[in-house]
Amino acid sequence: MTYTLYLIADLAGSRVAIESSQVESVVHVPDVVPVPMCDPSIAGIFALRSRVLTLVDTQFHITGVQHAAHKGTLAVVTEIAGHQYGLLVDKVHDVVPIAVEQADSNIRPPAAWNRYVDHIATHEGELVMILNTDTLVSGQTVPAA
Amino acid sequence: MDDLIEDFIAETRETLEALTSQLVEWERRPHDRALLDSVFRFVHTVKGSCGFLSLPRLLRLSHAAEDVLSAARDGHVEVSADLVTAVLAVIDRVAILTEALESGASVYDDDDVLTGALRQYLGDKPTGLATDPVGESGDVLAHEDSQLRGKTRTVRVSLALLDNLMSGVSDMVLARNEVSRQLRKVNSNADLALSFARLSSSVAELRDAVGMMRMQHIDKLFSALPRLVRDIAIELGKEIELRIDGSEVEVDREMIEALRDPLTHILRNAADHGIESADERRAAGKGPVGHICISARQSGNQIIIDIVDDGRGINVDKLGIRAVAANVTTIGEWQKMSLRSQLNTIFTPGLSTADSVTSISGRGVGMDVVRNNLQAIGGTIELENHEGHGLKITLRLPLTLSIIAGLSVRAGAQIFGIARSSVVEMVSTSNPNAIFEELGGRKIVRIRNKRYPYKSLEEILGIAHDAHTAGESRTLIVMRPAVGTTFVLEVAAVIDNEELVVKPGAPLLMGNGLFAGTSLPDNGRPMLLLDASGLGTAMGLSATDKDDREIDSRADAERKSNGPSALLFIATDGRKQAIRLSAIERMEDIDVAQIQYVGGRTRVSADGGLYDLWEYESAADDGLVKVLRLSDGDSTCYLAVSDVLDIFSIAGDIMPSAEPEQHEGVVYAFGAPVELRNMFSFFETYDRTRRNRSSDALCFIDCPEDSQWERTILAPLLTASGYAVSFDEHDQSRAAIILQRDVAKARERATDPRTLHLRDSNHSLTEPIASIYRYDGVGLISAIEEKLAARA
Repeated sequence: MTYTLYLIADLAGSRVAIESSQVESVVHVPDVVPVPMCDPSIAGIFALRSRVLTLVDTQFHITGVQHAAHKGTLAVVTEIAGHQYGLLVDKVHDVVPIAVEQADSNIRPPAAWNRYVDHIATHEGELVMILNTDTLVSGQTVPAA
Repeated sequence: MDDLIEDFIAETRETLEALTSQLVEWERRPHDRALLDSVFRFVHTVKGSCGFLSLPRLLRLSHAAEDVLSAARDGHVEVSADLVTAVLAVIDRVAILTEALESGASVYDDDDVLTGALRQYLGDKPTGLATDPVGESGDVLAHEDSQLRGKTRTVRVSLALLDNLMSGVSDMVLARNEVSRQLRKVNSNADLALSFARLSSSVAELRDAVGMMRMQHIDKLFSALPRLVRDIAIELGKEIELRIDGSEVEVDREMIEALRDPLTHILRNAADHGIESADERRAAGKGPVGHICISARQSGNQIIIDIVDDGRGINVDKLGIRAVAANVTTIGEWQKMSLRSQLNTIFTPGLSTADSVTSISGRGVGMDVVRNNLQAIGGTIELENHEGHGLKITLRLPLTLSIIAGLSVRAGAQIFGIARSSVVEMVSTSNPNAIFEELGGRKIVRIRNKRYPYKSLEEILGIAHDAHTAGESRTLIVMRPAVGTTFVLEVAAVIDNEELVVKPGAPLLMGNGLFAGTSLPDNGRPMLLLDASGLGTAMGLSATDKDDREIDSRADAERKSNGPSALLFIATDGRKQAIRLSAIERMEDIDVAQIQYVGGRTRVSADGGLYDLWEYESAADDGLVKVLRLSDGDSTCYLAVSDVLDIFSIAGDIMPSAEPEQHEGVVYAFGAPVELRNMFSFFETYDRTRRNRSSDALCFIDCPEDSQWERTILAPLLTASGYAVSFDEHDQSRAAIILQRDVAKARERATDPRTLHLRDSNHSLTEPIASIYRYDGVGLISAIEEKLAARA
């Protein structure tokens, strides 16, 4: 049984895990500059040192409700396809080893999550959803209004 | 072992790049020993390394090439064009195999054909001639070593590491700015400020140095071109000579990659369509060999690349027929187009003037792709057509891909960036020249009789107007995007004019087409850069060039019917005055430190030159002074002003002035009479000193080599009075005046009316012939003037 390190976080009231190799850092976002007329899942852009990152309103994907990002909110920084993103999360817990093989194949995530969850695993007896970060930023096919 | 192979690959690739241009040169001069040697060295080195690394295919190839070249070096084999082609084929294969070695790809093995082609040159030679490689290698390697020692040493660094360093330095600059802000808040002491200034300047130096690391000689791009042209020329059976200038110009390494395809395409076009066959050229009275010249130069923050050929140029009529046939335009429209617009239809997708499709070009996909590629990196392309005599293509590119000159503008409470290259002009909404109209719900603004569609940035982006600034005047920006119609964008305010570092945005941000990227200004708050074409599209304007052309031709027509334009400004004495726009090069804010009263006149030192400054009233010790930079084509001077108001066109007659020296006349600007400044006086004095510096006012001074007085006293006096001075015996015949002190020579030249004799003494008694005292400056100058007048 092989263990991989995962970052455990809270997102839209649920416990999720992100593979630690995809996580560059976890930051409190500074000023967020809104981006008008773009995909509703984008909360804005923010600066991290000399880089400009795109802030993804992660929970919009799940709940369909836009969440105003303000200074100090936690974001998980990750790089996908050469661009850097901050994924908004409610809370960050810990980095723990999880063996994905433990996953119970009978349990599937609810429909709203389905697209963004790779597996379901157990950690300390609790179920956690392992997020697929790629789908979070690939953009839903929501036309810019 | 892997490390060794990697080194071998890198080294071979580098040598190949350096060798490419030499190979072509060698073909032209096959008997050039030095070129033969360097080709030989290359294959020899490859052979040596391959044997060591056990790469049998490369070994066989390089061995065969080495044998032939070695025989050629010894004079056993005649170097013919076929031999060169055979060797080039082998070198190409070596390049392919080397690349394959790195990528792990496989290459079909028909090396025997290539080596066989080489062996046939050795056919009648005994095989023993394939020289003893050991003896040879010691020799050649020693030779190579001695050559390498003179070169600057370099190291290879991965691009990722370099980028890392770049972003590290950018972080440092931002941190420095932050510290500087903090320092300003607290009352810092002088020592601290001093050490911070030192830190600050070394950070700036470091940033420049890192910027330079990304720069590469454009030669890296150019070195492959001779080979390209050679191959095309052979395929087409034409003779083409390629000349390359400016290989030392440095550009961003990403730019080199971005330019490769467009430049290759332009060259192919020039060789295929531009240059005629030798017979056609002779019939047209040209030499049989076609010429293509590529030159690169840096001008300000632009790189300019010219590609000039002496071929047939673009047949505009034929282009018109093609354009009409392809439904790009109609005959009526075509006839109304300006020549420039007609030429520019060559950039329309699917249009080509080539009669036949060749393997090289003429498929109608070409110039449009070239232009798109250039626009993607912020460049432009211009054509200068001389039908029957050639075509000149000028590419203008920004110095680096990542830094653009930009404006920051405010919409609502948010700041956005705009590339300055797409901004034509800016006008305040309170300006009486801007008249707002409406057409079926679409807003239109008329600026100096030109109508543009307009919309506010807030409306386009769907953001709220800032409540605090309601009622304040806003700014209209006339935008001309690279593609699409000119339009006017209304913004709350223009904040600043700055260099913006462009960073690509995530695809999700760019999806709506409104943004060109992001930027992080010094304040650390990220900013979105607006895409001019995208804004136009969002306003519902067509994205084709068609309207642009119409506007162009309409603008052309207007320019003809309207009077000349003039600038309305407030002079330093507080009065409103006007000056012709054509004489103004630009408006500048110059530092007071640049202004000095020297040589009896107020002057500005700028761009390494010293220029006259007019009407400058002394100002504070520091700060900026608004000036207009005037030019008459040759000379430049500055005019200080209090403020610049607006541009208007001079309509109606110019009323004569009572002081023609000062004012050209009186004109009406916005309903009020203003004086139109007479530019003549600004340049008059400047020109007086310049005018005489032509050959007919040349003073030749006849004196011994070591004579101090003539060189240190007389020559400067004459130069200051506006005469050219020469000590060169060859100039004597064309000189207007001959000056001398030697009495013996004075007798020889007694009949030459150009001669002026100078005496050492104040009294004329001792001299046998008419003379002037050498320290009588006024007398001397008037004597020269008299002689010049007599000649005229």
